[in-house]
Amino acid sequence: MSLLADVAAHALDEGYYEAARRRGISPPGAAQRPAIGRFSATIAAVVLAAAGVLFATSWVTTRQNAAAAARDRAALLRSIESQSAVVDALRSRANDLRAEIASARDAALSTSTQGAALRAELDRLSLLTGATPVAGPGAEVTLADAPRTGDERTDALGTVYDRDLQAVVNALFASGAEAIAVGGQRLTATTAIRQAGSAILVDYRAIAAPYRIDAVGPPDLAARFLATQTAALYQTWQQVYGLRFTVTARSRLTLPAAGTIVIHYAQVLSRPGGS
Amino acid sequence: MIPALALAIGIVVGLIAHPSVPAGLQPYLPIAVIAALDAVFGAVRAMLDGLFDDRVFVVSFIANVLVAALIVFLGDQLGVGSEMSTGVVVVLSIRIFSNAAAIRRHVFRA
Repeated sequence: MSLLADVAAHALDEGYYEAARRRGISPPGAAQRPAIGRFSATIAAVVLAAAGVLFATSWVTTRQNAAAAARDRAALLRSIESQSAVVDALRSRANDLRAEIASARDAALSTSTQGAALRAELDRLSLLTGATPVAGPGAEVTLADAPRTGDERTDALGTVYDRDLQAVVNALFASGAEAIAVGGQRLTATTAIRQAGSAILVDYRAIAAPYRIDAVGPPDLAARFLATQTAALYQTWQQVYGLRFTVTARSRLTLPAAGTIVIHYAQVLSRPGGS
Repeated sequence: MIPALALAIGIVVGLIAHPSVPAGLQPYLPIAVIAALDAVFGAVRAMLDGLFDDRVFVVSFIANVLVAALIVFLGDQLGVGSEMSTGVVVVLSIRIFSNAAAIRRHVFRA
């Protein structure tokens, strides 16, 4: 690399050699007096001082930038943690209040026959909409990714996506399920199962593998589900790609409540003929 | 001694005052620093070789800094800014290393 050798050989500015030649000294003469005139000495000193200022400024600027970046990151982390804590506290408070309201309402309604009928209707509707916990026989279906092999293509084929959970949920409803919870999240009329990047979100909450789908329905729900095309498909994929798929019948499953459903646009239609 | 003193005074002034660099010039600060280092190392070596000339030092310092910044600025305009910057840093670093080696030979042999 003659270019690099050239750079290294001419590391000292040629100007020094030429100035020395002009003054009649043959380089390198270690014991010569350096040529420093009075005026140029001042300028050289000023230039050196400027170099010092440059070095110091650069160092200070770099440290300030690094410190600022670290401060911003720490502030963001603190903000995330505190806001998450606030959200968790509010959520548990909302659950407590909901339970309080439910018990107060039940107590108020049980004081009259009309109230008792209303309460029965309310309980039935709450069960259907997912507003109360529910228990009963049913089936438990578990899906999980195939073990990683390292080959990208086969790994992608063995990964569980939102459409897999959606297909299983649909097949369970078709088999007679009356209430379903995915990953501990109760499904309601407004619950979506969707993919966000590599995570599956149920009702905007991320759930982790293995994905557990609990369905309350007829006691033979598991058998009915296994007879569907969807179950056959997933059993095939279990054999071909190693996707993990298990179906278990359960004599008693408990599904949690979904929390309040907020309705913005849907309105109750007044029934013709009153009532 | 006076040059070393001038450098030290400059550093102290820079630390105390710390002038804020205008945002437009901030990307060229590292290149200017390396070019300045190259000129200073060259001056020290010239001093030890008995070749020092203060006029040459002043001119080489200013020219080094300006040319390095200009090359990187030109590179930025043409879209090769980071590559130009790398090239300038490589060349100046080789020069700094060579001058430092010569200084080391002077200090530890003669």
